[in-house]
Amino acid sequence: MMFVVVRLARALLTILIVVSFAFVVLRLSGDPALAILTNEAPPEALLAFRQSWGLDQPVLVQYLTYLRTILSGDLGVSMRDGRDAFTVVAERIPITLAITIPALVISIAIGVTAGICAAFNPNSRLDRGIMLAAVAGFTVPSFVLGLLLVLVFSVWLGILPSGGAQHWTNAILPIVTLGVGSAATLARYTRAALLEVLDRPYVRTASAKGVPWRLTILSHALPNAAIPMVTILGFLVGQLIAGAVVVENVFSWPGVGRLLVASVASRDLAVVQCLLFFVAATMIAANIVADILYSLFDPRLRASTHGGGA
Amino acid sequence: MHMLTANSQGRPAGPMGPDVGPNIARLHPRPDEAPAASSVPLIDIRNLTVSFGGTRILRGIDLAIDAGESIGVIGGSGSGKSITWLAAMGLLPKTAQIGGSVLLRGSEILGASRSTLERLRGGTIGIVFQDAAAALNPVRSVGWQIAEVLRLHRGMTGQPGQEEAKRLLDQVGIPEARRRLSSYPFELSGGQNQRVMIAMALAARPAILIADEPTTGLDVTIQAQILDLLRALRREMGMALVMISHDLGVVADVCERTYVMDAGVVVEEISVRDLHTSAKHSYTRRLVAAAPAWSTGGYPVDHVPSHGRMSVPATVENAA
Amino acid sequence: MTAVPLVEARDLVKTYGSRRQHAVRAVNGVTLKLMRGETLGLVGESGCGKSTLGRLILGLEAADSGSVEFDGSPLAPAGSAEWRRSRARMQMVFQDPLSALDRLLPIAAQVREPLVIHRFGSPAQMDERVADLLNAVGLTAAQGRRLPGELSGGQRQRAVLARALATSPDVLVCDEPTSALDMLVQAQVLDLFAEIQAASGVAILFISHDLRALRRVSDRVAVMYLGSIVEEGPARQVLEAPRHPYTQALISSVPGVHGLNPNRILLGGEPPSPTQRRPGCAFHPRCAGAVQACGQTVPAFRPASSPSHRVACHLLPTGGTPAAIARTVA
Repeated sequence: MMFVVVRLARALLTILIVVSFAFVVLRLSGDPALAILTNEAPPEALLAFRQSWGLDQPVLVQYLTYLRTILSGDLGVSMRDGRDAFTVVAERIPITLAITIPALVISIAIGVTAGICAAFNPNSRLDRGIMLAAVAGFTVPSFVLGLLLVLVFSVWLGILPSGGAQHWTNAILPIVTLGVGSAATLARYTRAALLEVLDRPYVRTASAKGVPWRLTILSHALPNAAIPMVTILGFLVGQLIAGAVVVENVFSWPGVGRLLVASVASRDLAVVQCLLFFVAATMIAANIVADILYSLFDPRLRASTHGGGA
Repeated sequence: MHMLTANSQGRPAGPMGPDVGPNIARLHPRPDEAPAASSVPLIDIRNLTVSFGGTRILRGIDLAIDAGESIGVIGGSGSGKSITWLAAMGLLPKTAQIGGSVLLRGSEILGASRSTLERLRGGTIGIVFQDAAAALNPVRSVGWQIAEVLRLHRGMTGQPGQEEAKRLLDQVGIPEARRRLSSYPFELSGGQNQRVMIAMALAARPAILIADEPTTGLDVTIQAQILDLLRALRREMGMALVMISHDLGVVADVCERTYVMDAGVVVEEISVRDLHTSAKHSYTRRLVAAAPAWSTGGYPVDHVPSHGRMSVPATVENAA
Repeated sequence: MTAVPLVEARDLVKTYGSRRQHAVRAVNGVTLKLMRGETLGLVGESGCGKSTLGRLILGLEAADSGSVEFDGSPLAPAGSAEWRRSRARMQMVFQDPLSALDRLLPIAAQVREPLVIHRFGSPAQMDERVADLLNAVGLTAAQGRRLPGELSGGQRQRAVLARALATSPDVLVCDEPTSALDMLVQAQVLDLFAEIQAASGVAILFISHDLRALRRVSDRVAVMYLGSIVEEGPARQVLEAPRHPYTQALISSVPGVHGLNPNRILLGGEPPSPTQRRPGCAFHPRCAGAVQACGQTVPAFRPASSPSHRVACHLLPTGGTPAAIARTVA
């Protein structure tokens, strides 16, 4: 019970810090009136804009008003198109999920498999090949990779579209670009976690019981290696969100990533704040999922959360 | 003699089982062997060598054990007493260079095919390792780990497997066996984990049990319980037992005959009875001298209340 | 007995865990004296609180109640400057030498380290001292230049011992120092303890579950069960003629030259958990001779075979054998 309360309080604090950060960065870095109405707008228009959005108030008052509206559940109205900020963001979420979820699933499938294959025969040619690919996938920035893929598949081969979201084939390059980094991270972590576990005495015990090597890895080593791997789940989700911002802009994919860049450019505080809210909530959810997975994988943790062992 | 690496499949082994090839003759008859001379030993290790990257760990081991016999392997750390058996079962890493011969009922098992070795390990040969808490898988229940052996070697699954696992826990003296099936190693004490380890090694009714320092790190009273258990199980099941230990007292308790190893060679083979009186090799004599001569370990029991022997059933604590 | 004990612990209590149902009373009112130049063996099964007691005596942990006096004056609170100075006079040796040593530093440098910390003297004097220490624990200068990983288990424990002895401590607390070693090496290291004690007069608190190791080095022995000392006295008397039923059971379980004693005393079940403490003598739930009083009051120490051999057992009255009393009460 106490655990849940602490957890919840920490989540709220995280969100508070995130929205405050958004406020400080956006409000102190430029005037939304100028950003949206541009320099050419007449001074009366700018004044009217500032008054209607409360931008003429002292910053501290603005901040408190801002917090009060958020606490009342009102995420504000987009300064740019006048609609509810939540609606603006919500209609983009499925578009982003359409590339991030396949990217996550595919990268887990490929990354974990590659990691297991590498750990099967450490320092073999296969292992070295996989690790080389993983280092490459890990180090090449996604905008470079994205442009490279566009060059190859759209410009040279002409088999895949380079941008937009008209057809499902438009999603292929963004998904691949997004997935490569996660798959590389996962492959390295899986290999490291497995190799560490394969040194443990219980792996030798399994072999001494006559368990075939393949089964030893899958049913003895992997469940133990999964415990440290859960830790990177949160990191992975963060990596995907950050990647989505870049990839969506490279491929003109109309998801939340593009929305974020556009809203920051126009100092559209309500939308940016709503987006950050969404990102923070996702990260918190990812960490809660990680905690649940921990107790699923590790009976020692299960016992302690249920209040003592047998 | 041929050199080969562990797990290499260079030489297929003959069929397992009691049908023994007639071409196998004893090359190294043991001096003190009288009645079993005509039969082929259960395991016969001949000139076994192991090296890692040019460093010789075993320098030609010869030892043999008959069916139902119990032998000790005494030696300090680094003597190669555990490596011998890991090498025999193909459990050393692939970087190990292994030479010589290991005959199981007359058939070569060194370099046998993977499927043959997998049938032997945990099937014909059970192993109990030291520090059971680390040697058991922390994320699998005790019942699961025992049932795995039953599934692999006896084809038992589902309910019959669970029943047999429960019977095995009963057999090794774990109270409330049925409830314990779903326990994890971290929920059990050191002594109980070692009992689980023994139950697992016994699950496939092996012909031989190799106990590698099974009581090291355990308290003396728990050690005594484990030794009692091993002795009783051997009597019940008629299996052979190899007790690997640095402790002469432990070996003396469960074995009739022992090998003494030092720096990768067997320096002496001696009856446990003679160990303290007529050891020939200086290393053996030094070992004997190091083991404090606490007479028989027996103590003036006349101080013990009433019946002179305190036997308290495990349930006393719960009952009171 | 006019001599002042070098270390005197009085009524030490240590409880872990705050919530009442999970509180573990690891040390339950222990009084212990360590005299100058003697080795006191502290024996007990895992979880009996003997390691905690060792840490309390060194001041590495603070006791809930009770006191520790070192050389006649109370031990300074842990972490204080005075405590740090006193650390030079009290050293600790643990079971696993590899984790106690820095893997990346040659042995000699690690032996030298406490000399630098406690400002021993000029560099030349330190070098000389390091050489002497290595020699004293039976390590060569060449071995001193090696890394911990390049030495055997016994050599590493010798290195740890050399480092512990660097500042000429008055007290050495050793927690299972030979339990990871095989018999032969164990015997050599144990003999080294005795040699060093004879040469330097250091007092040793030797904590172990291994009665045979204990027997080889101890002048006096204290037996601990579930946080309390149940028997204490000269090593010969405690180990050769134990009077507490628990000590008797422990000693009768030690395998002898022909294996276990067939008439050994069997103890039921597993060692009890300190979370489930019951009134009376801690041992009574497993003691076959237990009488009504055993479950009601904690037995006080009483002299057994000699005034210095003391036993806390209701079954041991003055002038009768426990067996006789057990029969009378039953």
